[in-house]
Amino acid sequence: MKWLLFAFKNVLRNRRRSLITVAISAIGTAGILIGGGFALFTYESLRELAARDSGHLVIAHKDFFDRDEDTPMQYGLDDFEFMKKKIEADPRVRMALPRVQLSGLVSNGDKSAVFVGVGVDPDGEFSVKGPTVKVLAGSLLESGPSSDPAPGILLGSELARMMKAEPGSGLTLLSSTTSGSLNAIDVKVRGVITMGVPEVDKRLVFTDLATAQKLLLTDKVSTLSVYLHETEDTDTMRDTAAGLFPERALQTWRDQAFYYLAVKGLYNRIFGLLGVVIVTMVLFAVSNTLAMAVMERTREIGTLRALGTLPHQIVRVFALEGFILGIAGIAAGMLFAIGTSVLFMVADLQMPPPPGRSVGYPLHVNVSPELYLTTALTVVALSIGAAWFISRKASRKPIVEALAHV
Amino acid sequence: MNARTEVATGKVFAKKGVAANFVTAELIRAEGVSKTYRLGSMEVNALHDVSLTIHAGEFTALMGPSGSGKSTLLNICGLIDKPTSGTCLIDAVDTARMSGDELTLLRREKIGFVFQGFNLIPVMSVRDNVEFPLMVAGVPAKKSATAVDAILDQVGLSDKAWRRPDELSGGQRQRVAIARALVRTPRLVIADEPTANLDGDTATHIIDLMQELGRSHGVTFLIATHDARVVDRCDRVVSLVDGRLQ
Repeated sequence: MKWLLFAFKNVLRNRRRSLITVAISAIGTAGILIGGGFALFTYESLRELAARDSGHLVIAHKDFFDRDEDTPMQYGLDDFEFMKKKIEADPRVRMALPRVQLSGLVSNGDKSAVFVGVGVDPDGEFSVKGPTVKVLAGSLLESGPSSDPAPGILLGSELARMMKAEPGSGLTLLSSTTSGSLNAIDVKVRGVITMGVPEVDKRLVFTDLATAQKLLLTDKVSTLSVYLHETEDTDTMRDTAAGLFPERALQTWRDQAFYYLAVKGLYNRIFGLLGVVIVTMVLFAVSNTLAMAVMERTREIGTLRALGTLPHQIVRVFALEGFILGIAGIAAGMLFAIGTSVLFMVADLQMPPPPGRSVGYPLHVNVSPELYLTTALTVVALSIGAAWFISRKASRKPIVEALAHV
Repeated sequence: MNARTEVATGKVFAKKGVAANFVTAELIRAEGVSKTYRLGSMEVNALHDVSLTIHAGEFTALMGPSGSGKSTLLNICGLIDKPTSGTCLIDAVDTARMSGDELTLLRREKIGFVFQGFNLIPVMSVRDNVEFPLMVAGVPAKKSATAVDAILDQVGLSDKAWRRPDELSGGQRQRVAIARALVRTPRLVIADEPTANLDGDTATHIIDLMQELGRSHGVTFLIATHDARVVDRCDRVVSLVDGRLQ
């Protein structure tokens, strides 16, 4: 404790210099924490987006992911009701949603366009998709019988614009059936939606499962998407599902989240490089301060050595000084970063839409205990390491030379 | 013991009226000590074959003009420098083959220092400065506090224990340095020009204090000085000229 107090007093010898060093450490620490917190928020958001889109697990026919179908639903699931019941019995599972993937042409009588559609269980699907589906006009589909004899669909905003469609408009969907023939079905637009990605909105059609199956002339579904209560259970649930359905192919949301993986890879490089630059800056600031302190106190080091202080005890004093500077910088940096996170949250600032998207997203900075701990340990370890490296030589300097130092 | 003593090859004087009551066994034995410094391409011989014995309890002055090798001999006897040749025994322990850390531990155990410029730690209080050698040695807090209280009382600085060195006069600072040197009751105190930065009266007081504490603690003093007042109060005077004992 006395050594720590001694080190603390030494840090206060040149207060302005120490303050500047602490300020640089604080800014560096805050930079890492804010940048890292933003990256973590982005990862979390994209992960959530990816999981909401595909489901945490996707169960399909064993060839579904690897081979192209010759006819629609060639690799579909026919026992999906049984699988749904079985997997929904697991307490980790929130729900399992069958989906039918289809494509074809949509026509308003005057004009046709290509669509890429999904037949879904509307209640379940739109409850898990949450805010990722934004209704621009009309309403979402609902499960169960409808008073309207024409089946309902949701159209992507761009496709709706092309078809000059709005809620209540009648359209025709045309698609190849499982037998290779063409089939058409009249539908009514219930709502116009956006997924936030213009390219998707140009082709998107949502309809209910029965309509999709009717169009394709099938009772199969393409996939069974399994939604979990906790994303962290994905890997264990994958193992469980693999045991339950050994004949089926399984993919996790990670396998399907190409955008998430690309962004994460990019951000890891950007923020990693930024972190290295900031840590180097902090290292130089602390090193410079301690190098000056060692230089100024060489004579005193000689005195302490003459009085019986061992070299490692001298090094310890400087290491403690590095520790104090590091800790002070970290504490100030953490407070600044937390303040910034709170400010961003309260101010509800928005980021502009990323490339390929039409909607922005909130500017949030996560406060991650792991990130804070790792940053703190790194900055403290570097501060102590720098102090150790700088003072090691001075502590071994011949005492007579040190005492004669001017 | 006779007040006039011839020791080893050094010419040694004992001052009249100063009883060398504590002179007993050999504390320092320097044998054939030489020290050569290299200044660029030149070699400077600071000490030439110096042999000297200091007995326990002696209050010895080391005199000589500037550049005579006083400080070099003092540094070697204080184990903060090593001779180029020759040996230095402290309490019959040959220090020639000791490692740096072993010398540090021996110095911590047996030697205290008083410097010309006081060399106090500016950020520490008087009390912390005096306590420093105990802290370095890992002496328990209670025992340490008792020792510090006692020595501060003896140097008359109990009331200034929490002041910092820059709040003290030169004489007071040197008293702190003396207290720091004596707090562990070493066998030897090395003092390099301890009165050089002090005015006449203060210098006299300081040297009286050192002598008094040296006797009460049974500590040997080896003092490099030009100051006649210091020399007058020493048991012995050893003269060095051009690195040789006279």
